[in-house]
Amino acid sequence: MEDRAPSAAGSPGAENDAAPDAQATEEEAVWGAEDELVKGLDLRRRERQVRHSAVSHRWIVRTPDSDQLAASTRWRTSWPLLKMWSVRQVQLRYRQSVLGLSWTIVQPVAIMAIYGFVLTAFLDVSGDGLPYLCMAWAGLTVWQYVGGAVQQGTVSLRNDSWIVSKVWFPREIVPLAPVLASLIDLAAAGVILFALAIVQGVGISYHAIALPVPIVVLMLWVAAACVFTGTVTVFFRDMATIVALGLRLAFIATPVMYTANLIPEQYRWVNAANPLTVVIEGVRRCVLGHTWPDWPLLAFHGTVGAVLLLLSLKYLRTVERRMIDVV
Amino acid sequence: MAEVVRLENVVKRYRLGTERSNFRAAIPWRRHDPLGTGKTITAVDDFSMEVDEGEALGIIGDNGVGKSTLMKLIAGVVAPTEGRVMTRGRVASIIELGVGFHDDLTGNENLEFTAALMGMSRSELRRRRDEIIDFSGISYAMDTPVKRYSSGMLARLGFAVATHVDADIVLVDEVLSVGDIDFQRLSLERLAELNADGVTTVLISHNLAAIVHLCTRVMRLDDGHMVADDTPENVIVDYAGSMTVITAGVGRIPVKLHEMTVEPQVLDPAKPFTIEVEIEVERAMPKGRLQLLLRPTPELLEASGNDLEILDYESAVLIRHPVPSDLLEYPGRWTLRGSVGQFPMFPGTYTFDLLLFEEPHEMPLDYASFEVEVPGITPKHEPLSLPVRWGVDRIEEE
Repeated sequence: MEDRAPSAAGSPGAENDAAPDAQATEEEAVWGAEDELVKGLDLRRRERQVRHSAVSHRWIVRTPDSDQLAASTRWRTSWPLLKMWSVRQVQLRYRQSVLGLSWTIVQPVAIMAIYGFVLTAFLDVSGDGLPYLCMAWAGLTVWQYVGGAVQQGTVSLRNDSWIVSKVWFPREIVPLAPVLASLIDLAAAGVILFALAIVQGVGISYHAIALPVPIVVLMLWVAAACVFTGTVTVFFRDMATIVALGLRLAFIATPVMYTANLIPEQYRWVNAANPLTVVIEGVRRCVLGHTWPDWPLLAFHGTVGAVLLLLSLKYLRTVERRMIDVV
Repeated sequence: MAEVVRLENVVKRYRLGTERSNFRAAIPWRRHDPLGTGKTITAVDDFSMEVDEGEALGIIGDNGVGKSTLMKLIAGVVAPTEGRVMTRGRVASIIELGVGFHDDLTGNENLEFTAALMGMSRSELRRRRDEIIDFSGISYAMDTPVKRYSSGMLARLGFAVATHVDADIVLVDEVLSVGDIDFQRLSLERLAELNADGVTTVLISHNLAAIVHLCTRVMRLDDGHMVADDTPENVIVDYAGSMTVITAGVGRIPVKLHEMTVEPQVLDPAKPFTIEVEIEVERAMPKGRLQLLLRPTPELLEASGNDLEILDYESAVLIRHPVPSDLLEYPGRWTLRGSVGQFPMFPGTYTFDLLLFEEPHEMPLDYASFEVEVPGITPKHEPLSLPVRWGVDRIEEE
């Protein structure tokens, strides 16, 4: 309150000063001076000291089909809430469980152990020059992030409709929060990946500094998917089932547990077209392969991901006014 | 006069009945007809109004006349079916207390989240956190998950956050009736304070007394239309006249509870004591009822072994004692005197409250309180044990 400019003299705030007093005396006559339900409250007779004014703000106009806020204003107000919302998701995840946040490490380790045992002891799967476990873990690290975030993002708006229907805030925050919240799992799995690389003798090279690039590309795509599916799910609940099915299919179709080179020559273009493959291969190359990732391909998918994210945000903003009537 | 809220021919319709999916609404380029072809209900009908900056507007009306819908329209939570809704500045809507609270998170965590939800930045929150906790009066429970809170505590925290977000416009939808008298008083005071600072306030309430005391202008809604927009007196007299439940005339309470004293103030539980209340009856109040409450302080309640879980106003009342209320039918100034015999009490501080009700309402219209002390050291909670020595004798069989 302090940092807001007080309204200048002669502004509407100042005019307010006179009116209530006149009214108060009038009321006294009607109601009797001692007629107060709430003791000690002389509310309207209180001196008005206008400390700030809303008049300096721009009008926000809401009509049946117009946008509500300028995009810049919107983003400025969104960011702090988006951070809080993500923090809350992490806080809630393992609340009141004994292991708490350690689960983010325990879970991937357990998964890796069983995969590693089954796939290396029972099956003879090639790691394409790399220890199989390392190679597969790089894929799983990325995949767990995608699966976790997209699944949560899809149902987010529907599940939190009780908040959405009571307070106005930029709606994109809800599906975007899992994108940030799941980063903690990604980080945990990433630490294990580095540990594996060292334990299995692959080692780490300076190429690992390129790792953030595929991760950012990944986040753009995941965010776009979350916003889009999250919005559609509000209107069309079948979307959640479709997404779950789609994720399972994508898990098989994407070289998560196998290397991209396993795909026959005539289908190689699919690798370049699949952003997940590009990200996973990018991670494998800079962490395990000691080479730089495929920059042009990453740049391409990064751009497409960013455009899709903007489009899906635009989509959400177009239909958000209809949301509240149907959730 | 500068307006900060303006509604122009606003219509809000809702669809009745259910449908299988709203798939069509998800297609952005399709002009959205949220109503479909089925039956609709018009909650707000061709409604226009302006609210000036710094005004305190009360909205009254029976249930289901569109008050809450109007509030949600101003808050931007729902979009109008027709017309335009315009607002200026930050709007804080208290449509429900504790929105966004999650049971498993502590008071502090929920406070942070809700503050962000209402548009507070981190630095703002850092600045005002103590003030909020102070206002809520539950600093002792801020590290407890809110599922252990009573509804009164939830209301306090929710209200504290919502009224400290530095909003330009505060919308309050019938949330004052939650919680005890202290809370109601505190929240009314807070709203008045905000309003005095130039914050535009819009209040929906069935508590006409609250409206009268807070608002400079009152609007009455009926069936989605504005039927009155005038000074509080004019609107409420008219409204209350058509409402049979307020028998004592226009929200004006014909009985006042003045001073309450307990003699002696420092109680000796072994000795009797007297309670005296001065009551002024302006007009007979045949449906008036008096009730005497005895409440221990929260600290005392805790020390005596009660869990925080049950620490809400209702269960913090040790004794709820009906008081003969015949005197309310006889105008005049009276002293009501009660002699209390020996009564076992733990050492500590207690409050006696005398409440005035009008049947069948549960909302106290007036009250008088007095704090008493029972000297001694408040016992730490220890399970009761019977001072018994056991012995066993075999029964010889013959």
